Amino acid sequence: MMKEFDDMDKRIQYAFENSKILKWPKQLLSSFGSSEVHYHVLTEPVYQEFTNGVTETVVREGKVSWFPPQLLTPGYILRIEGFSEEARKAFSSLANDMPDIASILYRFQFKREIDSMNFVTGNLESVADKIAKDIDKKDDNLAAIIKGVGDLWDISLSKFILDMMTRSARQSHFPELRKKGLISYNQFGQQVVSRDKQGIPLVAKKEIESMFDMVRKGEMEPKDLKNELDRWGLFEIYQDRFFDLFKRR
Amino acid sequence: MAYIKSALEIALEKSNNIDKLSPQEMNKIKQQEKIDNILAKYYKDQIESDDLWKHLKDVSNQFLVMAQNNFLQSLTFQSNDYEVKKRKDGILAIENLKKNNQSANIELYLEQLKNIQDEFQKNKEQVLKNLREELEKDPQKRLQTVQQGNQIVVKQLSLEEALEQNQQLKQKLNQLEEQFKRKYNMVKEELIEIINE
Repeated sequence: MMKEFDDMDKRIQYAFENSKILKWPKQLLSSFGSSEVHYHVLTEPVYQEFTNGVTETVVREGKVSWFPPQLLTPGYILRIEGFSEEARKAFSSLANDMPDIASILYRFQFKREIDSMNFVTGNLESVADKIAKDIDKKDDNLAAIIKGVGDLWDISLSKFILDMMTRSARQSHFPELRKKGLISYNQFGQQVVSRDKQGIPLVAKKEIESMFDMVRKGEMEPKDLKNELDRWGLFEIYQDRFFDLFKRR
Repeated sequence: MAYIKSALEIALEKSNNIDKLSPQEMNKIKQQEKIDNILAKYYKDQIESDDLWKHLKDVSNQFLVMAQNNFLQSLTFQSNDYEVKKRKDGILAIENLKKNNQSANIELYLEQLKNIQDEFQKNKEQVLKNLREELEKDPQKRLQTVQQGNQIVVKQLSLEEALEQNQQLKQKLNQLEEQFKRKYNMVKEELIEIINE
């Protein structure tokens, strides 16, 4: 059983290392909104040796959607669901040692319902070339072509997702956040969340104000506002205003 | 490197076997005790290398060699400049008391040991400099990701953090250290042979 796991690990590692992005989307993921990327994962068919010399390429198409990226502190990440114990431990020590370190949280999902799979005549390079021309003709700025590895094509897609995110973070999201003054560098060269005089992260301030408005208008439950204040560790600062909401009601 | 049994260990083995110690063996233990005392004072900076001469001038060649071996055993690839100098001065001070004085030769070997350590430091600094430049040029390599299902957290590491967490760097430095350690130990073995001649 252990050996099977080892073999699988090796296969995954092989697929990860041998996947290649043949065409990057011209556009990066949006810094403040959601994004959807149309992917094409190309692989050589596993039945290639039985095709009597006719070369075919398997083309899998689908979409990956990203929610707007969120600038967060380790303490905030610690309070959201979905991370393993190991990841939480890492965030916990980071939250203690460097509570202002800027991190960007990306959430994504596959829209499997529109996935399609086609067998196209031609070798992988020529098929990729044809798809790339189609993408350019359609002026689709958020389409990608990925060279995958056999039946582990989804590993190749994971590599693309990860690379797309780190590329966007480095080239666009972190610089944009710095430009807006929401993050800055500390004396150790680390990127940290900027705070106002009261110690409120600037990135949270606007969001919290709009949440107060929504609660006042009855468009949001107070508990959602409370949760958000807790995640930022800001309830103490805002508690008077929070309880005022109930007096007015 | 062969392990040299101390006279005291030999004596204890013998006493375990209920053998009687000969006068020569008794003398050997006494001599070694005396040397250990002197070396301990020297290590604790209570006496200088010049004082070693005064304390050891009446000791036989065999025990002088033993004292030099003691210095050499405690000289390692990780020894710092102060530790190296301390041992070098000690070995050379004792060498002057030996009949077959090989100070020039020994000094040459000790220099070689120091050069190997310096060369390693230079190589290590170059490896670090190259990686630092690489990381400065390509900030993508400084991004750290934590993935859990459909959530990924991306954070940019500072240059120092990225260097600290770089596995390839750790591996490269380990290999480099092993390579220089081997060289160091080879020269040290040769030096031991010269001292024991």
